Amino acid sequence: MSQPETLAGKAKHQVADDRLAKLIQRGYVFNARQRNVMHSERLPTGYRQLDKVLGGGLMLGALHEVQTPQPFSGESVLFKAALQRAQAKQQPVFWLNPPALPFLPGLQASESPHTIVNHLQENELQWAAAQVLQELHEGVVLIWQPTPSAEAIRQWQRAIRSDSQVYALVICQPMAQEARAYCNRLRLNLVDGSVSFEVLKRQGGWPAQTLAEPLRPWS
Amino acid sequence: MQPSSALAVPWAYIKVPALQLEHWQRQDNLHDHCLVVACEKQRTVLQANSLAGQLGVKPGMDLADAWLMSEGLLHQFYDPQHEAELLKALAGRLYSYFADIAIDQHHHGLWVQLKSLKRLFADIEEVASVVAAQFRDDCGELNYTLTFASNPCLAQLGIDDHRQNFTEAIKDYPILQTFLAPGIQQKLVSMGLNTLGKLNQIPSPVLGKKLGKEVVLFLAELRGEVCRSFNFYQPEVVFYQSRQLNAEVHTWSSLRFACKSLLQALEQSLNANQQSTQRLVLWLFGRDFKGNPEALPSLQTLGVESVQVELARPAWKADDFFSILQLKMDTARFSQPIVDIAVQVTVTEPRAVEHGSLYAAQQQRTDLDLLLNRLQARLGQQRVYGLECTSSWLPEQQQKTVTVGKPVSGHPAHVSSWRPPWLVSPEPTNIDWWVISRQPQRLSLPWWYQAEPLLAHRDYVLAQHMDGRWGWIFFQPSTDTDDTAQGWYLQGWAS
Repeated sequence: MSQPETLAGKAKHQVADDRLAKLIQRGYVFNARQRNVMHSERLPTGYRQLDKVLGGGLMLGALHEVQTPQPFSGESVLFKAALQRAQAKQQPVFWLNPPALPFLPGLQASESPHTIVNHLQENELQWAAAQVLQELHEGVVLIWQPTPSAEAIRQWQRAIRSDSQVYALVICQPMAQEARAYCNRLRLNLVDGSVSFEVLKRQGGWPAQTLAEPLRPWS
Repeated sequence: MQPSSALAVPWAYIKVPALQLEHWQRQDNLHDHCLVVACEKQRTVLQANSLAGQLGVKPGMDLADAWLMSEGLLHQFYDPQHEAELLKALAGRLYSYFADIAIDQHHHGLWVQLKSLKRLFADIEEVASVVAAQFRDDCGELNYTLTFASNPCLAQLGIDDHRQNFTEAIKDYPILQTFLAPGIQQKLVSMGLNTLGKLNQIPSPVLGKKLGKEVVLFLAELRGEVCRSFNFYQPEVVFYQSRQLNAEVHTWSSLRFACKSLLQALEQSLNANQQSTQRLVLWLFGRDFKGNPEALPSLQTLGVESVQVELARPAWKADDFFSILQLKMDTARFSQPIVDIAVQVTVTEPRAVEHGSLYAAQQQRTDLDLLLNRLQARLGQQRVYGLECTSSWLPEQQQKTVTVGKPVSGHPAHVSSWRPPWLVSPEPTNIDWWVISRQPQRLSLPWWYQAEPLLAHRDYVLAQHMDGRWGWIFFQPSTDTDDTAQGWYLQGWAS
């Protein structure tokens, strides 16, 4: 076989690999395998209908996503139970790139150690979140990233320990329905003061939608 | 009058009159220059090197006159803090041989109590020769005078009474060279008491009546009847070690071996003293560095770079330091090839006691500490911080940012009324965009601060924005002095 033919063959393989990678990224091709049913604790979301759809709330030790049209659209209620749990058990809370400063008197959570990691570039956030998820046994990890890449999500999901009791939530902008390695994916819609959720991905069920309910302030 | 116990407890006093100047000369290799250290306020020469001395420059002379005598004269202003540090460093060097060292910062010297040595050597002459040899070896590069005496006061004055009788030794010592206040010195001289010998002949009650307590106390110290209390030097557990590299190094990867070896030495030192530290400095000596890397450098020195490593929690293991250093140095680029490196630790703290029963919780705490260390090392302290509640009437001052990793120690968040979970710096907003939902809550300045008219009170309300989000807004009324501040401001988000 001549040298140019070998190079051409390699180039073809490269193109095929790239296409496959794209398909995997979009979720059209995936590795299917038997998965153990997880019995981790679930924390209520603060929205009754959503809790019903999710089987009780968001599970600990898994990565969840909520897409919001803009910050403070009602997502704070989602992690209220997690913060209360962290406060009661004095577990650490990590705020990665939060849109504003968490206010301890309002959160009523001055007993748990809060760590703010702010002003991070995309690659820094990817690294920092992976480190936090990898090292933490329990606590709360809240990550604000407008458009996280599929690679980042995979890295974060892999970083979570098998025995983890961490509440991990990624808050991002509404985005195209490409496959992501989340446990639950929610899209929050806020229209005329009423909030509803599109459940894009959930464990053990098809996508679903909740009815609109008035957005209540933090209490 | 004779001292009560001559030669009972021998003392040595080492006087180093030009420490700052000699350090400067050695550090910058200026041995063939005329150098003086001068007082910045009075512009007088305080210390002069031998070359300047040969040209007639003497301590006490005006700096302007000194310049007239030597054109190439270099000068540096006297820095008491620097001098104190140098004296402390000298005490540190001598501490390995002499346990009881006291620093005399005012007169640029050190007292050394030789009690322990006297037990080892029967003869006082032998003690003196051993001590002199030790000083010669350790302070050979310095100009110093060494005096042995039976008490610290005599030693400080440079009166050696271990070879001759006390009365003989002080007989001709001029009063003007003592450390008595200038006013008292003048009084004594005007009374005809111009030497210590003459002063010693006057009974103490008479002196006390005429000249006061200071002279009586001085004489009692001189005779050894009273010994002043000393704050003996205690060395800090400080670590400084350097390594010469086999070749010039351009990248961090080539530095790692030497660095690990230094950190292992640090671990051994900290372990031996049961200490830990939160901060270490890695010094990188470049090709342009002209000094001795075995001596502690300063940042201003040419050819020296430093890398500060701050840890969220105290550590003592080499691996912990190295992992943080690795994160910091991964992307580092050296401005010049490195030829030596050194590791310095200046502040340590006793290692925390570990309880076996709390192993699991402690392991988690350690993991968290390591995580915070890593985050801080890679991202910097400004971007990784904690929060703590404080007490203030202003919401923006009801919490403050703190270093991560410290135990929660602030005021608990006992605010009886409702507060939002998010806080923003007050920013003007249009009230037409909001629908007010609750009764306003007035937050006002305590009465004892009422002198500040700008911050008299604020009326906070929970309101829903036209896009559905909930916010915490307040109305700031105008004050007598300023109308521009009046209006509605957004301070928090509640959804």
